[in-house]
Amino acid sequence: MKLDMFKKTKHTASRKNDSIRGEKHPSVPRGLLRKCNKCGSAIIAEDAIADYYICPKCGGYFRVDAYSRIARIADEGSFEEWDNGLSSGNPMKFRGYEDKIKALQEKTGLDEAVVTGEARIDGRRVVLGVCDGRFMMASMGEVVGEKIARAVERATKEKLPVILFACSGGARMQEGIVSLMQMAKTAAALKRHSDEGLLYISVLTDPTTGGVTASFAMLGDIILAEPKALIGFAGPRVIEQTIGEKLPKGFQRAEFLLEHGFIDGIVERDKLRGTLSTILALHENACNGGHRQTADAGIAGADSAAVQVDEGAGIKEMNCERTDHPVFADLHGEIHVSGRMEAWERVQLSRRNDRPVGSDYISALFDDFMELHGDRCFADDKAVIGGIAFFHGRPVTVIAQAKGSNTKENIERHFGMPSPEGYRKALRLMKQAEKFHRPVICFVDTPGAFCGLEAEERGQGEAIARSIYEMSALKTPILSVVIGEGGSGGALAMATADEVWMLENAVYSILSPEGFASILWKDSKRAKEAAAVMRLTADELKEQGIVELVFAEPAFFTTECLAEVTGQLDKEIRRFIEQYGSYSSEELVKYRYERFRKL
Amino acid sequence: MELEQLMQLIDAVSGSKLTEFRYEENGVKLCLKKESSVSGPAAGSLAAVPVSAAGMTPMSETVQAAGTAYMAGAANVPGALQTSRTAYMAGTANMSETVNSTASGIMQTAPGAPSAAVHVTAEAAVLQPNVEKTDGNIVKSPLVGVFYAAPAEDAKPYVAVGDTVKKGQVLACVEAMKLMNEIESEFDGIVAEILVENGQGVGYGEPLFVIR
Amino acid sequence: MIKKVLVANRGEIAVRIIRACREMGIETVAVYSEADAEALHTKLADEAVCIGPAPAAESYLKMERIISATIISGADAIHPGYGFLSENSVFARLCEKCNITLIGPGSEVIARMGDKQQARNTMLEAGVPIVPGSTEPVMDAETGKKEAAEIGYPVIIKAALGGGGKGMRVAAREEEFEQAFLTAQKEAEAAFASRVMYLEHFIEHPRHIEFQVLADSYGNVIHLGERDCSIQRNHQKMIEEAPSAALSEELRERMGNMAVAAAKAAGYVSAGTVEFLLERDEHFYFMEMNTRIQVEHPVTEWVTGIDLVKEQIRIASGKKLSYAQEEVKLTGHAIECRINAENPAKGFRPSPGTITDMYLPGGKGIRVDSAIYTGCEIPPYYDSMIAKLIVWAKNRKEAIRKLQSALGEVIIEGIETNVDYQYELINHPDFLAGNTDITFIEQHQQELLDTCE
Repeated sequence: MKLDMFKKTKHTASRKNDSIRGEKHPSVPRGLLRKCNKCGSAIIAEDAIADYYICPKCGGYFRVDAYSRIARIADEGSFEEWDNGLSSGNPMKFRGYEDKIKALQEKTGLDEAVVTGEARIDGRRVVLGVCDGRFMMASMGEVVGEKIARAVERATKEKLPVILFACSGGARMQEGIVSLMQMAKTAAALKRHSDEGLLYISVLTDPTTGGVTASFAMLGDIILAEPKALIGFAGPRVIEQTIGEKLPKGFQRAEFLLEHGFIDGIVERDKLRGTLSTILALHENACNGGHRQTADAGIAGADSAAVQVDEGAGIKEMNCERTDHPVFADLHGEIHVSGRMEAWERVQLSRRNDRPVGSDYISALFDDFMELHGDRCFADDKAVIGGIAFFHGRPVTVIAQAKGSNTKENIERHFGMPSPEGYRKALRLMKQAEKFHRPVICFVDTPGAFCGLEAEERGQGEAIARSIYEMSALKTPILSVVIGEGGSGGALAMATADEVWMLENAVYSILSPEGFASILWKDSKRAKEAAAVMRLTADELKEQGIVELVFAEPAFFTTECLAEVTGQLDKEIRRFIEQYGSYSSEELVKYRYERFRKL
Repeated sequence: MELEQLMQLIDAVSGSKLTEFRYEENGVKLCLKKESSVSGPAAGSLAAVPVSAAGMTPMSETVQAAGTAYMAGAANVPGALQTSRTAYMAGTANMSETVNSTASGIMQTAPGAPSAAVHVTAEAAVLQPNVEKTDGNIVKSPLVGVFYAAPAEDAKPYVAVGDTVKKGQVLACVEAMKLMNEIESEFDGIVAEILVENGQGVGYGEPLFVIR
Repeated sequence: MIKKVLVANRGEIAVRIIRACREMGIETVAVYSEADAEALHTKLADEAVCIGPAPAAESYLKMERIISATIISGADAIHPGYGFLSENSVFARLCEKCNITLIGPGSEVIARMGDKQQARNTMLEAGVPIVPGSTEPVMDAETGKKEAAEIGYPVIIKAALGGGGKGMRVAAREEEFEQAFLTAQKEAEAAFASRVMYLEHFIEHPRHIEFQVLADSYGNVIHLGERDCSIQRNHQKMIEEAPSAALSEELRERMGNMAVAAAKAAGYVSAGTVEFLLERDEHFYFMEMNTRIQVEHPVTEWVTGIDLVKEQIRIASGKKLSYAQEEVKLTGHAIECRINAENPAKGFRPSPGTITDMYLPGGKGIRVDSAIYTGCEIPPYYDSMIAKLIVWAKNRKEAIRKLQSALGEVIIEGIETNVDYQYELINHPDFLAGNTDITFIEQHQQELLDTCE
């Protein structure tokens, strides 16, 4: 059919005022659209800005200039800039460098590649430093180093937390060795800040590389990163050229660093302010001069210090009655009522897969739990969950050996068997707790430390030993609760504590009954018999002084009735924190030493 | 073979100059063929008439060719040459006059084979009378906007007819909504023809260059 | 006055708009995807610009390409039709920024009416009735029961995170409430790990009644009566008629006034539609406001004699409404039947292909809005509606007769269509009796399928 034979529109609409259309003429205003450099699509600039500089098409992040970043992070109008106008020399007399700086200053309105100052986030005072990639890719020359060092020094003096947003191509080549020294200068200033017990949060944005990564960026007490940010020491192109190979996809991206244990978490841009605010709240005591040192001993525990460790025994006895005629379910879910429960039956109960796991206790007992990842060495072990949370308004560090609640999770979490990196993460978090005077609460639930080639290569024994060693003298209260299986050294590495508690049907032993039977009787089938002689039940361990408290469990213990246990735990943890919080760190360490010394 | 791969293959073949394509893998045989003539009841109707890869003649010739072919088309090559008379109008007011005068005359072929045509009716290049004269690779516009042959008003054009170009070399710019989009050559070769004028509006898939 | 319109759509609505422009002496620019190079709208417009490959996301939904095509073609306005970008407030805002007249309401109105909660609040303030429901999450049966009593039975209990019918129960009476609530909550917990529930008044067997409104930029708002679109399959309208058999003159006036109030509250300009659910007891509730020309606009055009697309263009050109409310008279009865390229026997799956032969009816009181012709291709990428058959007669009975006759003439070869299915539908005794509600198809599906086999 010949559709091309249609007649055209007979134009009758008036064209008279064509000439006076002037500015009403359709046209695209400049800057309406921007090109996303991640996906290449044209996007509406306004939308991206309104949405935290995120590409609405691909979700990619645009780089944010320093002042826009500050506007998104700080309370409105709270930012007061410091050290503006510091000017850079030209130490190497590098040709054209001064002109370049001048041109950039005019173009960007910045004096240098970092903006520092003081601001408030949800009312809390904080020192901010934000790199601006528009200025020579925020490379660190003398001025950048100086501004950061001054800001950190002032934060140290005024006892303020520091938040630095890193984004940098590295040290500034044009300033030569002077640039390199800025790494030392900034790192040294941060060390002094940290030694005063003050908080430093590092936020890594795309890209953070070179000398900045190898100095202030990686020194945060907490290191956060934006999704997909490129973070590395050597740039990817340099690595590719050096090794002559193509790098795998996602290499040196934030997600890669998280998996390899170098950052605590990845935070989407729109959640960054909220996250920083929570972290600041969790560290409020540490900063703003609120140092809780050894001196205030008597105060905290004054009214309830009367509760003595021994009194805990009363609780146990009261609860204990229920264990004499327990109703329990076997592995197949059938409910039995027996007279006195056998040790082996408890072993089986402790292993049931519908038994509450570490993460259940964390969400039941604590508020605003913020998980922190990684050992800053090799990996983030999912068999250990750790982080900071509030316990009745008080910041605490919580670490749990984590079994999964289904098979998939269990595989991901190695069935709760920590690798060396798991112990190293736990220890890192405990040291952090020590710095900020937070009590540490550990939940122990592991068949044992992970047994395998990789674990040995990375020093499983060393990791456990180091944990026990450091925990024994950690200058903050430590509590460990065995909630399921307390398997050997793998458990002790998180139970070298001031008090160790157990749930009624939890077990804690030198070895699994199967292993015990196999070693001593060359027959792992005699596990039941082994369990009976190993004295691994809570009651028996209590008698031996290995544990202080035993908590009764409901007949058929699942997450449904978790509250029955956490209710008791909550009360006792309060008592523990009040009591041990009142001791000086010297006393604390001494008691802990004696606790294990006498065993 | 996954359906998706199959679709990709069909796209690739229909976008190419191949008239036939055979493929065999694990007992699956595949044969894609572009019909070189249109017959049957649909012949008189609008078989989709894509621009063949064979490309364009210079403007003046197109007008002529279109004129004559129009008659011929009615008689024995139905569908093949009646082209969309789509005019690619220049956007700016001052351009519109000149463009208008040519627009009605120029029979631009509709850019790109409709994907739907892939099923069967893609008919082809061979029917185009000027095929022999203009074989070569066509660089098409990937977006809708204004074509610029040079990076700036008074600058030298990126390329001129007769220049040797490499794959990836910038040939022109298409400005869409105040964003400049560089058009890169997808082929190595010599610029045989530039099919649009500086400042002209171009549609998606509109042929811009012939590279031989 | 607008001189050149770019039609950012395809198919019958693009053709419908181009026709209105031609009649008004306005030049037209079509945009088309590679699959539509030979489509009627591409051919009928004075100019056409290809904007991308076949998938809509790469062409008809690609805002920057459409704007760019507008600029290079020198058009001063865009008509978005329905679907695609017609109710996209971002697109509307972009047009505003580029000084392009988008024929329809402004971006803010589109955004406000597009947000369910905002639309609800706007209507609540304007005194337009909305479906009563709980304003706070309901966590337990006790609280729920109190809320339900206030809302009015029957109530539907929904999971806040719900979807797919899970965690959803209807309680007809107070005695049923607790049981229904607990079951729904249990399901919700299992499916979405959330116990948060919401309650809403449950409307049994409602009719879908929508009011066409016209508003100019001088604050004049009129309504053009209602359309009854109760015949729907999976929320897709199939047959629409005006006026509705269910409305008395008094109810029409009440609802019409509410529609006008709704449009005023929304700050509406252009042609729009206010959708209501109508209960058997004549209670009606605001559902949503559509900020575009609708598929079923021809039935209103026919009973009122007003060309809605032309009115849209006039309003966009800054003119006042051509009619006052009292000049709007509803005459006779119009019915529209949608013809889709789909196969009812195979679960209504789309049936793209080439139309090898076709015959469409004509004659007094018959209108066909379509973009098909012999030899044209129905591409698989877009909506399957290929034609609308609209009839008009003095009254509903005669209109149905005319529709039966006309639909019986339709021949479309080469692809499957729902013509036979629609034919059975308009011969169904309940339809003839005007005895329909939005569950009509659901109730009679098997019967209709069996008879049209």
